[in-house]
Amino acid sequence: MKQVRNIIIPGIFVLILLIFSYGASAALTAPQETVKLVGKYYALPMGLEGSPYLFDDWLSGTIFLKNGKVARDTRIRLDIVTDELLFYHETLKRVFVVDKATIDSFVVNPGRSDSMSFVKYSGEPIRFKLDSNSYIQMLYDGKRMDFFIRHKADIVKATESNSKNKVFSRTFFYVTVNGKTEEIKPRMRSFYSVFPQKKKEIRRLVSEYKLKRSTRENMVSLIKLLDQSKEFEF
Amino acid sequence: MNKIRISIFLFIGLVGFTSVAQARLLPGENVFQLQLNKSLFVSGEKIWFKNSLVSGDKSEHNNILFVDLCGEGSVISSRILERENRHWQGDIVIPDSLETGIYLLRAYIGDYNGNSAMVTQLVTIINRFGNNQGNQRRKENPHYQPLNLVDRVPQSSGNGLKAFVNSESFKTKEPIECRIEKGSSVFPSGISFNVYKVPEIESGDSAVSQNTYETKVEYAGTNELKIYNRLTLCGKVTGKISKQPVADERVFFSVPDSIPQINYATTDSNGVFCFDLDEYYGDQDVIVQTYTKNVEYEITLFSGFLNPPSKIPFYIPGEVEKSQFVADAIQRAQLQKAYPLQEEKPVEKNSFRYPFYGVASNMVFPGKYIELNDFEEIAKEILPLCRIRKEKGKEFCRIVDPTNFINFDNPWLLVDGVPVYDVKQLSPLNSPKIKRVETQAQLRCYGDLLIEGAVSVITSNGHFKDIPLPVNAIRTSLQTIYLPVEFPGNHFRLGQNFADFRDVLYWKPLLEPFAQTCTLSVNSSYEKGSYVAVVEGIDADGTVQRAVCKFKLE
Repeated sequence: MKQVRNIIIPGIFVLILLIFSYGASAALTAPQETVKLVGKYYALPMGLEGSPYLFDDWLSGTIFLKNGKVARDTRIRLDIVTDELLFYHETLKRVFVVDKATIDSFVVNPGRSDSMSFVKYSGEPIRFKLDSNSYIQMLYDGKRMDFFIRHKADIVKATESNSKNKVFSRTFFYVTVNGKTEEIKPRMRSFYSVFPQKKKEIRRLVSEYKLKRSTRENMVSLIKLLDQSKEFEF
Repeated sequence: MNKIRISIFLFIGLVGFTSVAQARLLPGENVFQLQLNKSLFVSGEKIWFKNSLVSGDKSEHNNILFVDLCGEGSVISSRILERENRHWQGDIVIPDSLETGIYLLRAYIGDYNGNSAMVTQLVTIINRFGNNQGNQRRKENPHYQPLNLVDRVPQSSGNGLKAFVNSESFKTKEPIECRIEKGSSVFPSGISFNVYKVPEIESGDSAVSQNTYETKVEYAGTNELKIYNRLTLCGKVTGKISKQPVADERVFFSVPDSIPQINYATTDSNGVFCFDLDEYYGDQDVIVQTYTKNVEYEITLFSGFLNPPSKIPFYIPGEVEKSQFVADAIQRAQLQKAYPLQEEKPVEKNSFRYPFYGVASNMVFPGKYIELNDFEEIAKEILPLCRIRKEKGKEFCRIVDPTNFINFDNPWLLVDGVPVYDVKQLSPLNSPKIKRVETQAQLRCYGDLLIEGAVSVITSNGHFKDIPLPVNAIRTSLQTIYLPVEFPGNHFRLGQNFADFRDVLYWKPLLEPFAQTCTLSVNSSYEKGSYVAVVEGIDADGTVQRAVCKFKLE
């Protein structure tokens, strides 16, 4: 009996594999077409203390272009001083800045748990911090509310001789509610100032879903709950 | 434990089976269907068609459909269409000069590997000026058979669709209420609806299944041309003297335009290059050239269409040619030529266009300055970053990057977006001929191309007409993706003071999605006779579901 079972079970397994491979052969994916990125040569900044990049290493990225094409597996970096997306051109062996006008959005480390999705900000500019077309990291893109981060760095000029210019990077958090963008501090309490009339409801949600710690994940969860809650009118 | 293991395996197996069962057609199985708006066509008219594809595979990659109207040994007219809402629809023009005869309308797609799949339909075309020499010649040939397609009236098929009209007979210029019902079937390519005039036939037995005659059409040899699932333009570069293929040569494709956009490809070991042209619509004036200019090359472009059939072994029988139905059709076509229905303009695709060298760092409009005689003067006097220099008997253009203090001595020179390599070629361009000059003083990339500055001249006419074609370049007209328009007869208004002799009262390749029933109002014309309302679709099993209802206009 055991011998029969030992034959049947692997047999079923092989059958299942065959079925899946059969289905997979039907689901062909389109061949990769050559996507032509448009960009200008990037001169590496010299004599800086600190990194002008959001991430120090070249990471894999997917760039969604305005013309509908998608550049996959591109080695990219975000310069947060100039707010430019850099890519390493494997053939030309140089670094270029992708023309912002051609970009719709891009994803860093796509398909991974640490992936980051960036779009261009299209709302009202917020002085000195957020301009139209600035790259923003979208944390939550909802129907009524958006929650995003703007990574920004400034160069502080050296004041002493023999010292270098310093890169001073900052992160700003923003909430867009019904098209209006407001800066918030990365704390749960900040939401009370955004929705002063709804303090009780927010408190209830924070307590019900155990979101007291002001982590980025908890803030995203709260925004999601607020956005999806039908009772939460604003 | 073992029971759990077996249950898991069985569950996974079940999931696998159901996922396969959902794709009712097997992978690799395709059902094509080419539908036309009527059964008899007169020269000068258009054939309106729909092509459906229901496939066992995921067929989203099958985007481009090639449609052509073929005679024996010739492609008469053709269309390239893009798939929308899981089907293709469009129209193809029958030239006024086309002789009376049986022609072949065919539609084909390609896959990743360049293999094509085709569907064909024979059509009867009558020359409205009476030119039937071709048909007469075929009549005299014993290898040709008579074929009456005019009486080919469609018949209901399957139970998935039903069509009703509110009466068996209607008066001219009267609204006709048509009700369409569908069961639980799913129609991946949508449902079409068509109302057109048919000959007076007592019974409906005259319907003939499609492809009965089409299979007898003969082709000379095998068709080696590859048809891909995207629009491409392929060609070959050979040495002008050596006639040998040129490998690894960069070839540029450009269309004269105010927003310069180029396409490039590299030749393979056979000298063959291929451009992807998925973003081009309508007829384009195209310039293809090689990068190398110091050796003379010959560029040959391949036809993007399959070879036409060598023999269509049928002719229109005399009784059909002389029938009242055909005579009426000719008269009606003459009237429609005199009183044409106004076609809507195609909705242009809102595609993103961006100069391949980026946004220019400097833009000059020579019209705003005093008139200058040639481009050298223009460069010297009004272009801030650009100079034409002469060194050792050679002329070249120098661009200065003021930010990084770099000189570019080999910038791209463009006229209406077309690369020209010799600065002397720009000489004929004086102030009145130039609309604007853009200068890009940056080191840039466009795909794999390194752009060391660019001077882009946009001429006043914008069609690259003021300077000669560069060396190793060819200029040709190219048909790209056709944007279909809606059939103009659908919106014919009641009470309109117009000679309304439409024989096709309605042609809608894709009805708006509806739950169970939908009602359509069709306006009848002054054209009396028998009509059929045909509602048709292919269900997920690949079965053609068709409902036909007949009525008369008296």
